[in-house]
Amino acid sequence: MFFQQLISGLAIGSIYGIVALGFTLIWNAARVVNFAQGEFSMVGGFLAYTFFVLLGIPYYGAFLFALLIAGAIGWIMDFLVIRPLRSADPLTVVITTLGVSIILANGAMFIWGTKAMAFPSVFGSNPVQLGKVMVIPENLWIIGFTVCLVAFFYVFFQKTKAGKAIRSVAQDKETASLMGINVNLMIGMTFAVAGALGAAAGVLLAPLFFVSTDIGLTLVLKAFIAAVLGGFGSLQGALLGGIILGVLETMGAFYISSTYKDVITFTVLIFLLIFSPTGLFKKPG
Amino acid sequence: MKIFRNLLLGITGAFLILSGFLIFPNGVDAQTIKIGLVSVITGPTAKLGEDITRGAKLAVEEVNKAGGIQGKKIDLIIEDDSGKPDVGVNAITKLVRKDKVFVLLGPDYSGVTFPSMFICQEASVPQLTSSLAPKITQQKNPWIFRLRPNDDTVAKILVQYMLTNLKLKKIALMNVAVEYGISGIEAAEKYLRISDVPAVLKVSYNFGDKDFTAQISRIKESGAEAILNWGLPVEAALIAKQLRQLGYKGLYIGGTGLDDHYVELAQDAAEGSYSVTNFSSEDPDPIKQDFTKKYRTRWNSLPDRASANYYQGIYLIKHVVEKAGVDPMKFRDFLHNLKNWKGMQGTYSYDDNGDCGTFQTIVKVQKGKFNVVYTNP
Repeated sequence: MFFQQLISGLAIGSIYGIVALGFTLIWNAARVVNFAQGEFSMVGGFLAYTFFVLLGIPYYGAFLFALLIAGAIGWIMDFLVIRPLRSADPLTVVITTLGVSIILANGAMFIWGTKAMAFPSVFGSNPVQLGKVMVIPENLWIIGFTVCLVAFFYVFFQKTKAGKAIRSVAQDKETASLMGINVNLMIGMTFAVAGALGAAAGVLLAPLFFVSTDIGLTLVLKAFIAAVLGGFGSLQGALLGGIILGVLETMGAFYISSTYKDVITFTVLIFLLIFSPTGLFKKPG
Repeated sequence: MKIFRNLLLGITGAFLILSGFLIFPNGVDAQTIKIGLVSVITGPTAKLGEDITRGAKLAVEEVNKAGGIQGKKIDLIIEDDSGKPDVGVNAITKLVRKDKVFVLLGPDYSGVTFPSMFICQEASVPQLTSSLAPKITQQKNPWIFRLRPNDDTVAKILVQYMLTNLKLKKIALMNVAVEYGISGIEAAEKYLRISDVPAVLKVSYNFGDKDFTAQISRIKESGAEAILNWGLPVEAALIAKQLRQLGYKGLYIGGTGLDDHYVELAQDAAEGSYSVTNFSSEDPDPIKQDFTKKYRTRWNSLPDRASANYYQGIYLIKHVVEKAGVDPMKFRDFLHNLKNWKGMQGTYSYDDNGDCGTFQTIVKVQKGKFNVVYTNP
């Protein structure tokens, strides 16, 4: 039973981690707490539904299109809403992102309706039995995708020019611009990447949890907690924080109580932060 | 001159206002009778509100076309409660105090009805609700009435079927942690205990939860041969899917929340599951089929349990007004004493609490559709 809960927790934790990653990227690049991060996932799910179910485009193509469009939405969000507020009070910006999340959520309801919709299982819904554990192919895909994502981002941020440019903007905006880096372009790109990441989480979720307009708020809250847990501002912290959160939730629900699942999760979080206020991982330099 | 003019205006105004109160009771005049409907028009479950308003509107159109109620046309005024108590209180206050409706239909959510039923009580307006929580009719409120049997009755019928017809012995209970789910599963637990077949496990989940691995794992560990889930469509469908994915082999049975939307979402995973309902469009009973056909012609979709309640509600109001007139007290007293009235859904017999009887249908999902397996009169 332990491993059954573990696999489930790892899968949902990976989703939280991916959303938290996008959330932290934006914080690092623009010092913005993006409350609309969860809505990117919601939109991603609906876009994939439209492409895959309604238009019949093959799954990987639908996945890619969803990511591209969500990335575009992220870019537009920065261009229209965040950029004009570059020097505004942080609270103002946070409230603005809240406004964007409401627009996205209601816009989705307007376009796709308010009913939750089933998303077909892509890898087959028959579980694979490994010993005493039933593993759903979807969970393996989620965990596998996350591993590849981690590798990809490591290469991107450490080895490519664009990645290093984004990191330098995160470290020190003024100096980066003095070095000839187009700060606005980098921040816009970060929003686009965060949008695509959010959408990826949403598409991965869809076959498991249906496509619905109300998942945004829960996801952004979990992402926030994951980011705090892992050390606010640390990318690997965000991802690991998400995974730990997912496993914690599932274990707590099984071994202690499913009714008080959220209470348990947040209690553990509070204790973890009391003993380690900066989170589990320190933000590098 | 000015004083005289102002005095004339004042007297005319007062006369007009008072005449509304004195000559005709709330919501009724020579030509129309105002019926209020409060429902989930907006929000993630807006489809429910759509089904409800369509059911009510169909009945209103039919009644008005046939001459109305004693010659008066029904004026159906619809307001949105979004499934939330605070919005519901505002909506009902508007219908009762501003629009001055003669009778109020709704809400559907027990969580909205329970905190807001005082409004109709204080204004002496009869209220007919489709809510299921038993405690709504345990508050000694003489103005509240049900459109379908409450969850205590539903639980009793369902448990009886599970023990007698399905011969189940090891049952696990699940519920969603809202008023509807909590009171429903409590009733089921009570009837299982009375029958000496106590539940082997009771777990709950929150509205909006997506992953039920923990609950399902515990159920598997308990050795339960059947699960009774008092839940709502989305979570119920997710649970059905995850039961399959985690290799659960027993029966899956649900309360009223396992409706057409549940079947749509769960797809193959719903096969073989049971649900209990006040109405199913697959019911071969000729009266129900007649309603289904009329609804489908008008709205190009199948009616579901919610539509049936409110269609029925309009006809119930018509019946009571025809027999008891438009005085709210007489309407209320007549309804409390109404016995064996054959409505479209079943036979209504009201009691002093406002409960309406014991009609209920148990359905099983076969080949993606609900099939009636048992009818309680």
